[in-house]
Amino acid sequence: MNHDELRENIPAYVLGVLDAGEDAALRQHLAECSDCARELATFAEIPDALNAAVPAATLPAGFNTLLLERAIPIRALPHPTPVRARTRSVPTRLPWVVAAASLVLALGLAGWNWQLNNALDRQERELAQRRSTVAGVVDLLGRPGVIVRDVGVSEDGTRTRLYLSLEGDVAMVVFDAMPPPPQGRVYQLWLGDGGETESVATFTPNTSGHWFRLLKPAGGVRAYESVGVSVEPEGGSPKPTTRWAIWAGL
Amino acid sequence: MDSVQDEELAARVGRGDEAGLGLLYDRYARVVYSLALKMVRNQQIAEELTQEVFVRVWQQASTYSREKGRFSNWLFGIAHHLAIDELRRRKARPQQVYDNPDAPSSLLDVTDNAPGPDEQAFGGIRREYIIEALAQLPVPQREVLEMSYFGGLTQSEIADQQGEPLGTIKTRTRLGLQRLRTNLSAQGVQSDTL
Repeated sequence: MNHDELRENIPAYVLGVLDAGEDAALRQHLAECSDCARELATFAEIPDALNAAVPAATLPAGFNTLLLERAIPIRALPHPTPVRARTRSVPTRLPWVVAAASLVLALGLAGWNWQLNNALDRQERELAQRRSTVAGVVDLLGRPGVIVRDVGVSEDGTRTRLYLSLEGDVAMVVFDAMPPPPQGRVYQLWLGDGGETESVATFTPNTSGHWFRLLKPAGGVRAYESVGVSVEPEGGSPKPTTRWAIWAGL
Repeated sequence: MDSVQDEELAARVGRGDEAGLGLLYDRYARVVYSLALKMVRNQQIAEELTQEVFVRVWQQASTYSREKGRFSNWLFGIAHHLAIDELRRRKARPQQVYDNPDAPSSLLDVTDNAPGPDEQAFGGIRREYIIEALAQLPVPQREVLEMSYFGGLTQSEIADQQGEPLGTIKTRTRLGLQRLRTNLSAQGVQSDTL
């Protein structure tokens, strides 16, 4: 595009309605053309004026809680406080009963320490996994032009949203208001490609009916056509055995 | 004064200060929601967009700096961008049933005494000054501005809808912006007071 064509797009840029390609081209031009940059600056107050002209609406009840549930956990993951097991020295001149009791106590402490270390290891592994997931989520949501798709509400009341990167390499699926699966069953998430399905994970939503999963398949999500959820026996199934509880195109 | 406070709060949020996010939320949630509702005309989607805006503030506040302009500009830029994305996705989907399809299509269709968004969020500027500046625009110019900014329509789409040449729509948009700027100035609304 030449200078005049780019300059012609400044009003649409001010109003935020250029497509991604035009927007990028004009941004680059603005960095190089002081005349166009000056013209853009003359319209600086327009978007805020239009925002200020919008009649005020009333926020729905419970709105704050919903926000904090979503926003805070993303960056405020708790850090575990390391627990150190204490060591004790046993006096050498004790009656054998006391010594035996001390030995039992020491063995008990050792066992407790072993269990504690195992629990800590497990906690650290889970935390590392959560951190990795959160880093992936932050990376996805922080990318320019990430596509947020509200899939809608399925028959069981589950609300499904998809977050898709423009690059098509990563996506996130979010379920809300999802009922718990029937007794002895779990939900299973699948990626679909034509007639083929590939299991992603089995899961049970939390007590609020919320669950999400970052999708980063090796070939990118662009290699798949859909994402679906079926209800399966605990442990999951090699292939979906029930009709889709949730299905969405990618 | 408020913009300085906003920037300080944004810096605190960038350092992970939840209380700072709460204060920004108290100040801006209502106006962001109002803008989202005006654009997407669906309460549930407007709620989700508003939440998404503040999730992004939480995540991206550390990337905001005074050099990028006022915090409110940055915030509403995020909100407008997300709402435009939603409107464009809708175009690619079958028509949905919206909550309030009969909602006023123009800002001027709202009664004069309708409350404006929280004035604190806009430097104390009263909504009626802006409405007056808009009302003084020729109707075709005001329509293209509202269809673009609130409807998310490209200039080509507006040309198609109105059966006008694209060049005419582009000219109307530019003239509309220029005249609105002049009208705002006459109402005492300058960029540094918004």
